[in-house]
Amino acid sequence: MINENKIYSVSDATTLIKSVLEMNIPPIWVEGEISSWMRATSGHSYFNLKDSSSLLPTVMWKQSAQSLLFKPEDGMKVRVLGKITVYEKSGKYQMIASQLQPLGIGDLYQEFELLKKRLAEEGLFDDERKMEIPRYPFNIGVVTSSKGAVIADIKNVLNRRAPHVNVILESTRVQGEGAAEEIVSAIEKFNRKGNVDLLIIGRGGGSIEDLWAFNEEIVARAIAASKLPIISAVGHETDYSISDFVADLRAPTPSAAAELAAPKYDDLLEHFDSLEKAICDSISEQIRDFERMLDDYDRKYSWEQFNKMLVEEEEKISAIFEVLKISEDHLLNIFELKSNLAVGRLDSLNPLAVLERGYSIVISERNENIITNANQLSENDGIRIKLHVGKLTADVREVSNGL
Amino acid sequence: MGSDKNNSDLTFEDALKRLNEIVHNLENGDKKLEDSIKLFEEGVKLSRFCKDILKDAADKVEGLKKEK
Repeated sequence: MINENKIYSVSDATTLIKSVLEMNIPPIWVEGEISSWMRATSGHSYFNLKDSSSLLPTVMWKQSAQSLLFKPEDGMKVRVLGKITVYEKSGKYQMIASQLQPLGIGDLYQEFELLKKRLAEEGLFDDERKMEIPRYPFNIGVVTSSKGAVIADIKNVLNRRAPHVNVILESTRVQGEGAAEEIVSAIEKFNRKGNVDLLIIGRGGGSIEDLWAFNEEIVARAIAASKLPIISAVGHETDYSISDFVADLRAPTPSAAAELAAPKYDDLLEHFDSLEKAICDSISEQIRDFERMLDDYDRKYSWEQFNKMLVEEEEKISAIFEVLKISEDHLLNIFELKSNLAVGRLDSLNPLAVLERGYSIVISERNENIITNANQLSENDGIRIKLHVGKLTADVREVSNGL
Repeated sequence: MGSDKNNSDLTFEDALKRLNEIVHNLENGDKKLEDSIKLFEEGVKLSRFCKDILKDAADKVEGLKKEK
């Protein structure tokens, strides 16, 4: 509420002015002439709308300016849809323009904007609808005029860049009466045949009337219905068409469309070479690791080492056997002697083995005892000495005790 | 796996996808040597297969151009 008795600060007064202006003036269409058109690096455009007596500073934000179908210039008569706002810092009012139409051909622009709005609302431009462009196409369908520069540009680029890609053209008129219908049927034909991986549709630059076929609703709907991904390349970089919005991808020019569609042949071959190299490197690395592991193993458990170990073990074992053998013989001898002694029939149970080795048995003639101790005998006692072969009879000459 | 696959069913894109998988698997290097060698063989075959497709396509396109 405005209070006549209140003293306002500058800010409060400005806020008041701003609210009065902004709340009371809805977006309006204003006709006038463009002056001091300036496109900032930010992408926003600044200009004045003027007529013989007044001037209205106008701003068009980047987003709105981007979808302009023409290049505004000073002196151009235009119709602008905008909202009045107050910029507090400089105390100035200005119009924020959301749409800009050149006068004269305004009807087509209006039609374009209406269709664009309607299709956008329907969701035809939504990102979720967009199909992915195949990364490795081998067949590309082109819908354009066989006489235009588009097909030549596309073939030229693909020839150089992707000689493995086959281009199939469906030639259509791209402007004038019947062009839209031909474009639609070409898109449908490719879809029926399914002989290509993707489509490029387009034409060269021209006036809005020239490009109009690509702003027709039937073309938009055919693009939307296509099961084949479509790249739209209509007009120059600055030209936008409804086709561009509906298509899965917009290319600024036909050449760019070809570049976007197909990866370079040489790059692809190189890519495979590098993949092959990568797997070769990996496997070589792994084999080297394996060899290294075997070498380590060899070093730790070499044959030499193993043989040495075997020999040592063998020596130990034969030493044990030696000991065992000796003990065995010994035990056997003792056992045999003892048993012979036990039966007292040394002659019949001859311990040959012992006698053969040079041992002999001494027997007292006096009592037939086997002599194991010198003190069993005295001087001049008769003895018999049993040898391996034969025996001796003798008299004891001397007795020495002790070991 | 793969090595006995009938290549005529295999698309270029699928082959490339599998090839990338193989490269990834081999580079991770936690496979047994026998498995790695199988992957290696499959990978090289796939790469050759893809390159052949590219070269054949280029030859075919070249031929078509001459016909016209």
